[in-house]
Amino acid sequence: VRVSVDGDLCFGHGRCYTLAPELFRDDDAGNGQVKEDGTVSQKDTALARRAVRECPEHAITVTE
Amino acid sequence: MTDSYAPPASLSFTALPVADDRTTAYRLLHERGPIVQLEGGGFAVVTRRDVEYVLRHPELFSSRMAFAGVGSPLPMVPIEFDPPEHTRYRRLLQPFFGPRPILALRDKVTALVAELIDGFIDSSRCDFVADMAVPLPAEVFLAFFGLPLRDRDRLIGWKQAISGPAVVNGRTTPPAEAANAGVELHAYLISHLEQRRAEPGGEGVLAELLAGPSGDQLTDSEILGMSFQFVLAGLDTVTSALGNAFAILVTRPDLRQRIVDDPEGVPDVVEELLRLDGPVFVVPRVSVEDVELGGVPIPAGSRLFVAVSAANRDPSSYEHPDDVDLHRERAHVAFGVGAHRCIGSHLARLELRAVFEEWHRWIPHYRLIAGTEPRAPWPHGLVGVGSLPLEFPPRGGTR
Repeated sequence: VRVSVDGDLCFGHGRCYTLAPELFRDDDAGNGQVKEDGTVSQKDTALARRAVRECPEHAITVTE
Repeated sequence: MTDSYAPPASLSFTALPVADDRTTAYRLLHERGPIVQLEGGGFAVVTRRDVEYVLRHPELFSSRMAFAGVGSPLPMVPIEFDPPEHTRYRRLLQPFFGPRPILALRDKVTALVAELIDGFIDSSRCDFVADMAVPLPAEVFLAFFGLPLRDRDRLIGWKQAISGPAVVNGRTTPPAEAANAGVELHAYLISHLEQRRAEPGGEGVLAELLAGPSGDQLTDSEILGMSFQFVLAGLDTVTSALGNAFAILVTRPDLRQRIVDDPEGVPDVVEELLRLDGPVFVVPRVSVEDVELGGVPIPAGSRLFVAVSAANRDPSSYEHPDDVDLHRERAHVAFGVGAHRCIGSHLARLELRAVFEEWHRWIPHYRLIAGTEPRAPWPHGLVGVGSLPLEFPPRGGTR
């Protein structure tokens, strides 16, 4: 499973890196970015799906 | 326009029972939604889907003419601008309001909360609104901008005079009292800006904006417009969010106990109470061209009232929308979405969290003083209980 952030949709609400710092980090503008290459380990899959649901801009996608 | 089009049922915001029964008020809006024609003119946008659509399309729904009734002598930065100017402002301001710089304020904010609690804890009672929810955000603003804390009560006075029913009643010119307070607040900010320029250095946003790299800097007018917006957008909102949250907490010993037992879970409580009873009833927009929304034709130049609080109770988006549920894992739109999402959201969350934690550390048990009923003044620019008289056992005591 991989997770990605659409930078055009992100407006820096910061929900992803607040709720799932294992998977996301903030850039200098406070926008969300995936850590590393966005690969999600088995144990973090639920966390990735939570980030998708809690992003107010629908900017996060999980792909199998 | 098609033959099947029927005009949406109209209602008036002022007639809604927002003061003491917001659950009914939001339900009435949803029953008449998704787009509600307003008796005073304009349209309310009430479903989460349509709210998000309007806020994400500034090219169709502009902020530029939407705040004329507020009483700022200068355009407020960045709330009164559309992209691309808005984009530049956000880029210059976002570094001050991002989660990391805001987190650096945490100890300071916690200390301010503790000091306010110290001021009333021995009397075993307080008005949570007057004694905590009003002064705290004013103090945080002054600390954040590097202004003297002793100016707190003057700042609160100006802010009270300026805010009011502006947005909700669709007023397009400010009343004289608000305009005067606006001029005084501007004069105050200008004098501090000039002082900072004459004596560079010091802490806070004003000093840092002036010391920033030359090139694409904000002008003095832009800094003033931004400061003015902060005072209007960053004080009453936190006041109202705090008052509304504690009006719920005082009725819910189970939630209070959770906060005491699990401080790590406080952010979930903050988010859910923002969703359930956030301070922003509507944000204004003006349609740029003829457009259809929720099946309703909206003529160019119409005033739109984007009801984020109603969207947060949208039954098609949230199960049992009127209940507190700390496990929703659903986004809310209390801070808006799109380019204008609240830039102060991280600071607001920090303030709310600090009060939730610190208050319950010192005062885990409290109740409404008998005979009082929290009411939100209505109509008003924001939804927030006006007073919340609480009583609690003496320091160190138990119920």
